[in-house]
Amino acid sequence: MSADLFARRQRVARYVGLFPRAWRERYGDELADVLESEPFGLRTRLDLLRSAIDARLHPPLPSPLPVVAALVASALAAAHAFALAAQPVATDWPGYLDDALPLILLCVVALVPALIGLWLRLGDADGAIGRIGIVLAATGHVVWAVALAAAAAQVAYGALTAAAATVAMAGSAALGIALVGRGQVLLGVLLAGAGLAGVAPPGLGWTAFAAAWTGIAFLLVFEFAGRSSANRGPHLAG
Amino acid sequence: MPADLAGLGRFAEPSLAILLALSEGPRHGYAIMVAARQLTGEPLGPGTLYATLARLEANGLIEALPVQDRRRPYRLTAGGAAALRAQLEGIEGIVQAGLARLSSSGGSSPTTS
Repeated sequence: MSADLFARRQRVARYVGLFPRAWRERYGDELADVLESEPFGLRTRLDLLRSAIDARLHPPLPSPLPVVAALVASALAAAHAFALAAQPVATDWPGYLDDALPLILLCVVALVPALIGLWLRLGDADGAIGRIGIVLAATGHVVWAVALAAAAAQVAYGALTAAAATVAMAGSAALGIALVGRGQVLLGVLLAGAGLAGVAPPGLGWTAFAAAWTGIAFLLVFEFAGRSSANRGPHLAG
Repeated sequence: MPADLAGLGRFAEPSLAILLALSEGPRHGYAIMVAARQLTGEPLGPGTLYATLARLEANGLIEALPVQDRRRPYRLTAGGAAALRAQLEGIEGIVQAGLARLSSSGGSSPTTS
């Protein structure tokens, strides 16, 4: 084997290795065969990167991660809302309590995979509202988490936290509207409600936020449990 | 099974090209890619090719045949042929309506005033 061919095959193997195992077992040899017959330019590399991300986002069996993330986030949101509600006076703008910051920080982190899971329910035809929604929601939650971490470390607090939370919640609301448009009405209404909770006064807003995410988590858990028992059915029958 | 390809979002266009490429008979991945490029004049990347093949297969529009010398051919299913026909008839309707409108307006170019 020439050095060029060896290097090419190594490069092909590297790119095929970006795809998940189950995908590689089904399509890996075929993709490698095509790549060995194709010029390996920048366009091809970008196409492969994009497709590998797509394959990881769309596994043959849905991942339980978004369900677990939503459940964890809803419990943290409820604990955070309770901590605020238990205060004798309302918290200062933008409405966080120092002692409860770790709760909302972990909640916001857990919401990122939960939101990605909800976006994936829109399928390939996610539409402009769904796409804008997930970009705003994911970016907003990541920046919100960084801002909350900075606040917890007493580095910064205030405008950035509030701005990031507003973007995150606007994205959640848009994603909720997109889900309603795809016929997933209850989930969509709850998600839009969680997003709109951001415009309510902090005490009431956090309670509404926790209630909406608790509803989402329960819906996802029931659906996942139903799907799991349906998948087990034929094995048990057999 | 989707009656049209709209539910495939950004994969609708590559799906149409792949179904067209398979309408002449079974082909393997590289041959599909080359035929799709010739048919549409647009590049079809290998990653997009297999992401689309996976969706078409999951939706029952194409089916995989046994591997031949490391290459696996695919062929249209009856559902895939029906979806392709529906898509082409939809396009034909748009083309005919557009040409009729152009003819009724005398084929003049649109003006900016």
